[in-house]
Amino acid sequence: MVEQSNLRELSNTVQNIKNEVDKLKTLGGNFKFIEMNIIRMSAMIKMLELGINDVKDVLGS
Amino acid sequence: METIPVEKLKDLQLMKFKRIFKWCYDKSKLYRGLYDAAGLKPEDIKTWDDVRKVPLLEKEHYREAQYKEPWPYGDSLCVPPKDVTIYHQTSGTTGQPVFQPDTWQDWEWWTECWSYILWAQGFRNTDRVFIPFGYNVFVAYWAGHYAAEKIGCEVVSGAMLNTEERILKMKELKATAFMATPTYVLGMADSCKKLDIDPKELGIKRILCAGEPGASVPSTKKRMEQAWGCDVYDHIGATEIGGWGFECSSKPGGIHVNEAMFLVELLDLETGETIEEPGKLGKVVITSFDRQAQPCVRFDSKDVAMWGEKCECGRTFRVLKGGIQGRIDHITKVKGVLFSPVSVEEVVRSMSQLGNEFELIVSREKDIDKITLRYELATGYEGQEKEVETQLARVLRLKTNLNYVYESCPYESLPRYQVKAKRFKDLRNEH
Repeated sequence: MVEQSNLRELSNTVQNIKNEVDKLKTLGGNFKFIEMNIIRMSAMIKMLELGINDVKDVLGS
Repeated sequence: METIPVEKLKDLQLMKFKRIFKWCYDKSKLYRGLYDAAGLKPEDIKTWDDVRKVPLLEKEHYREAQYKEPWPYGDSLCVPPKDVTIYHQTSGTTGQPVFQPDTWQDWEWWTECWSYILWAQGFRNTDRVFIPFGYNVFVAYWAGHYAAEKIGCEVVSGAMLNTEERILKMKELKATAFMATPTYVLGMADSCKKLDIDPKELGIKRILCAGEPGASVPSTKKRMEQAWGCDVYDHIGATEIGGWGFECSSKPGGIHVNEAMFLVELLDLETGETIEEPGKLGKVVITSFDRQAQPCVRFDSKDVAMWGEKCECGRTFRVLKGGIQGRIDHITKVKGVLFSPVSVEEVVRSMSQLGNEFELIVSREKDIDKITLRYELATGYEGQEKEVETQLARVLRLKTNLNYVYESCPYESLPRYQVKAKRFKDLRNEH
């Protein structure tokens, strides 16, 4: 089982990735291929949030 | 997530319920109308008692909300139509099919849910998974396919092949696993014999069943495992809900609920009170926590089930003993006795003299209920109708407290099904 301190670090990393993807989206502007790939990346990041960030929140790390 | 302490799991569920309730209230006219009528707003949902005040969602609600703009989802849609990337629909067994939109995130969620199922059953990146099913507008096996890819399996679709071609392809490629309905798993074993192939020699290690409760019926499971010489596992899912339950490799005699992604409530069939204790039959009400386009919140699945004991696998997710026990609309009174067709399946499939298929027909003659069991004798047991019916009468009387009329049918004359089998017919209200 993942230690709670690791969970916090995992959660922070997921959040950082999410922020970077948001930044990429903004920088990408009208490039459709960036937008399309970001939709897919965001969906995968959401699954990480469900499995990591939500759990961290209830475990109170 | 599968081993989170139970009390933390409950906290996670409550947090997620509040979130999905707010999402639905804010995004969908269907839900907002339903909750406004009940006098509930997102800020009212604070405790588990509040959760239980949320009105149940019925399939009929979707039907009423759909078939209008934005076409065809109407007021049930929670996202802009441009965000919908995948369409599926229910089979329409109980009426007008329900249309199910999903966003790309929803589809990732579907495969995430199914990844829990496959992993718990031992599927790994060393497996070559064959899917002998004609993919179409129904969600069946689409999510299983992509979840298998997600966990690293090699996936082979047998969609447009016929049964014999599928078997030969599985043999040629040395597939290690496949997914099918229990009916089709048994049917494929029969077809193997016609090809002079022993299914046990194909090297299949595990089979995932879906679509019918057969893999949770001990005698049906045993029949499949003996035919294929491998482990057979059950799973539960539905188009409107997602893949919400799975049997793990410890085979606890039931189905784990994925309680990190779904809330499953069992409600007393008469009082509607929440059932928490094992062994008591209740109506299955389900919330999918993390779906976007058309989530289900307190959806009345019309299934019945009971909680079981803790599983030794280490997961804290609760177990539904024996999986789904039946459908509310199939559990009916015959001659005043509460009757579930699953109990007959258990008996029929436990007798080696009987083939895999059967039919149950309830009718009424001069105000008296009559229940007919149509069966096929297995090959090699021709002419043994009398002995078989004597045995059936004794066992079924004990098991169901009912007497039956028996009708022997020629081998392979009863319908074969690839998806939801319709073996139970109640003709009492038909003229």
